[in-house]
Amino acid sequence: MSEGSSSKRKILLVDDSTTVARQLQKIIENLGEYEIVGHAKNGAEGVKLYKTVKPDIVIMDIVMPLMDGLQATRMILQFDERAKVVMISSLGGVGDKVVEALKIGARNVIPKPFDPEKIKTLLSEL
Amino acid sequence: MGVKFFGQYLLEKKLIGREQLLDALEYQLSRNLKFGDYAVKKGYLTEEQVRSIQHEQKSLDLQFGELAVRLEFLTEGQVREILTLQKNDYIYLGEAIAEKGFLSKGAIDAELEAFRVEQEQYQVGRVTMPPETREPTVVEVIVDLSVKLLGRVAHMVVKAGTPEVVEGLLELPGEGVGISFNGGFNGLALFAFSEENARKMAAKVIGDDGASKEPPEVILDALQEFVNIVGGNVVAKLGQMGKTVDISPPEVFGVSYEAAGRQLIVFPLHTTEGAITLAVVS
Repeated sequence: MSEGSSSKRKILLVDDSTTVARQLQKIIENLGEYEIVGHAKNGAEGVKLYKTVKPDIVIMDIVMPLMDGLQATRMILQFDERAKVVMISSLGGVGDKVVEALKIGARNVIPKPFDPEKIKTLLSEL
Repeated sequence: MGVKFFGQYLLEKKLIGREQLLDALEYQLSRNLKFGDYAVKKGYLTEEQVRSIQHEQKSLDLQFGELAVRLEFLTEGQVREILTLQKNDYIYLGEAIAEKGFLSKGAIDAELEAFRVEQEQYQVGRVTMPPETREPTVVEVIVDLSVKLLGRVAHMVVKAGTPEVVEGLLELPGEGVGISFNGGFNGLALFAFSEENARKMAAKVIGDDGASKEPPEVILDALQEFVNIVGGNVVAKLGQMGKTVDISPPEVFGVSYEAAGRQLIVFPLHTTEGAITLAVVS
């Protein structure tokens, strides 16, 4: 994870999979305009890190141990109603959980497998 | 990329907004009545009978109408009548979006065609299956998407070999990593790799050749992530086909698997990186 460079937008990753974190880190670092400022492995840790690192964007998995991404998103939005949270899902935008995520205020859904071009477009719109 | 539903496609193309999609989904849900709602509306069932059927459904894997006939609440003719009504009244998301005025009917038709073309790469191909395969449609989707995603995610060229039904204990070439399905399909897709094979596969999934030398937990995490992607895409594909299925997080199994009364079909997958075992349990 890179440090410093205040001109870059700060991203917090919340996902229990180190593989996903590595995949996203590679894609995001290649974009050049963002820096990953933290990686939480469950929702509770994600909420805590949000309050300390104050990222510009949160990329959040839905299914995670201890606290899932939906509950964590609710708590982050309660703390900061302008928080920009995007969800990660392998469900291709299908399913109650994805619809619920959008309902509670997630900005968008990143489907898996990841497409770097789509991630670039999606992040630039936030 | 990946299997997706029409709403997600429209969102990505910015043809509708998030609020409009949620609004259209809610409208679609309110228009597409459930079987029990029709039965009450027609005066064939009382609310209490509907509740009792729903209660029975929790322990019996049967469709609502099938159960209603078993309980002698409905005749088979009434079930057919309601199914026809339900089918005729059903509105698709595209129709809901057009009826809400978010896009014109013409625009929806054009986008549906473009969506069909985009999703063509995920159309289920022909998979050879033993004749006794239970739930052949679902099994076909699992095998077909596994092959396609091994290509897309792990950049492997894959060919599915001749499947066989295995009775009793299945010995695996390495630790099995599987994903369970429940709801419209109760089963498991279990992948097993030899150690060398697992390391190559993990490096491909992570997108870093050096990752093949990582500790076992990193390798296993990458394999679980691959299995998770397969599971999610299977759920999405089955959803497009009108079957609602849910998945649980991936699990790691040992080096053998006991079918224990369930059907276990092994599909050998021959890849450019060696053989992979895919076992589908139903």
